[in-house]
Amino acid sequence: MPTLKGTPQGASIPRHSGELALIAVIAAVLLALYAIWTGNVVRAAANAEGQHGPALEAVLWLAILASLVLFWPASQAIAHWQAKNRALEQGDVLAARIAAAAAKERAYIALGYSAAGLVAFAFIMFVLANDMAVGRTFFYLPLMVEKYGLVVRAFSNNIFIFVVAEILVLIWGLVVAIARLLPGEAGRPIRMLAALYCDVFRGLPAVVTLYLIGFGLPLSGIIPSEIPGIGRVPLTWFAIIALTLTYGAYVAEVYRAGIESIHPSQIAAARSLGLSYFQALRYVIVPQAVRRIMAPLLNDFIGLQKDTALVNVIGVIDGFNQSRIIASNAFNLSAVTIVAIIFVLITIPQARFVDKLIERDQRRMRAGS
Amino acid sequence: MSFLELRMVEKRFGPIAVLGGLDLTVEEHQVVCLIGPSGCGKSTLLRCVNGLEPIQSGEIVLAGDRVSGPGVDVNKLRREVGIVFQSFNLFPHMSVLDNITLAPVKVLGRSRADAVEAAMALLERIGLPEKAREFPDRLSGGQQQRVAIVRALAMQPRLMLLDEITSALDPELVAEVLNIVRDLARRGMTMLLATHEMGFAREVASKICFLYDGRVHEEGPPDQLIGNPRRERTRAFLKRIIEAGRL
Repeated sequence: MPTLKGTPQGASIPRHSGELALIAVIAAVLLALYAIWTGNVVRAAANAEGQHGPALEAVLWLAILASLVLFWPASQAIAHWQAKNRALEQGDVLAARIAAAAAKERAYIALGYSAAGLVAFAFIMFVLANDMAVGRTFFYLPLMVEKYGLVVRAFSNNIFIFVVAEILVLIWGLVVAIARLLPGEAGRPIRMLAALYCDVFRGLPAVVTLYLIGFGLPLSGIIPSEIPGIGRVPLTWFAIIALTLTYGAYVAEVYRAGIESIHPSQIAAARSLGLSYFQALRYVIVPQAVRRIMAPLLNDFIGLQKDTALVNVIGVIDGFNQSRIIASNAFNLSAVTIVAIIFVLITIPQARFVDKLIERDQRRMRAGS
Repeated sequence: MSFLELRMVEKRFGPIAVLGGLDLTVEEHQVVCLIGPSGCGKSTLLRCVNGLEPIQSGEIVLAGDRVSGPGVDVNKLRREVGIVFQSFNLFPHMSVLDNITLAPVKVLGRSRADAVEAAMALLERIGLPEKAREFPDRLSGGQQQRVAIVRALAMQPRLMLLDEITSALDPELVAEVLNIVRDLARRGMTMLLATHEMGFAREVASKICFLYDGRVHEEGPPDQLIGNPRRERTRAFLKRIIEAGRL
């Protein structure tokens, strides 16, 4: 085979590698300048607060040094670009092509990281803007430290509501999904009823359902606000009913999609062994469907968890309501930031947990291919 | 009266008649092979016998009992008639053992211990006892199909329907599955099978039926039907099979 020296007809070399390498260098310079500027603003703010110290100074310099790391891929991009030019002069198209591709790749790395750095520094600047007014409004640490216990305690109400509601939704959603899939003429009215339920409760805003159920059920006397011998029905339970009805409709649709995604041959195989329709659902179809819908199910659960912040419309004191009370007393939103952080924090381990579950299941069922 | 009788069976999918007044009989301990071009209704016929597809007219009689039409307890019918599919259709979320014991436990009400013992004996017979705890996706196609056969056998059916059970297999895996069918035939299992394996059909069949146009076009003992077919369509079909090197 002849060596591919010289210029084969039509051989292409990645274009713009030089421009990209230059842009990467410029981006690295800009980021370094921006880092230094941000550092100065932080230092000034800390001085104004009397919080400036060696620890902060160390953190600032670490951040600035970290931003300088970008010069590494940027300079590599330049070096590869020069190598490309040299190779071209010698007529070695293959080498030029490889060098140009490497230059582009390094340049994109520098650009990607500098974009992320820019966003991070911009966020710091935003927090410190307006003489730290933004930071004080959202992240006033003394208030946060003082009140987080109160907010966390109130948040236990959210946890209670969504844990109970999720258990109920898992059962109720499956019942509705199976009702929507009932076969035959006899099943038609039930199917229509289930479809109507899904349409209505998916269409209703959760806050409206909460309002109607939280005030409507006790008001109409259907569910007495006091049960003899037990006492008052806590408002929390009306919130649970409302959220179960709302999210039951979503989850029913997820179940249905999962059940319908199982190939009909699985039903045929189960029925051919003498299993009844419901046995086939119970042992063959639903277990496979549930494995497939784990991720969308988690989506709906996270939605439900977030919507527990709405229960204050019927007067349930949840984490959000508690933090709003604190916020209006202190004229500062930092307490709401606490509840915001809690909401985010609780979803992350759930997402990882579901990922693990799915992964474990696939490892068990799939060959090691 | 024969063990299984199909009389004037008609099966339509919308306007298309897949089976148009088909007659067929299977005696006890017979192995009857259905052959014919794709789309001639072999699979549909098997699914009708098992009650997976309702028929429009005619009747299917199993051991003197009519098993087609309204009012038939299909779950009881399926306890007596096992079916194995071309695509195995094992339950992917269950181990091999659970695949086999599910129906005996849930349908026949056997104790789990008894069902497991019976399943292990069957797995022993097909040479896969060490796969009992594996999941189907870890098995080769041939192994999966052998498990699917055992799953049907675990219900102790009186009739086995085999629907092109080797068609989805790599050629070198076909023999291990056919060996099990040979073994079943030796033990006197009544079987009705759709197949493209002409050599195998010739070897194990008591009778071969050539299906064409929704009916049994010609039937006879294997050597006669394959070696000396009487009707033109049968000859043309077998000629193409021979040209394809499948006989």
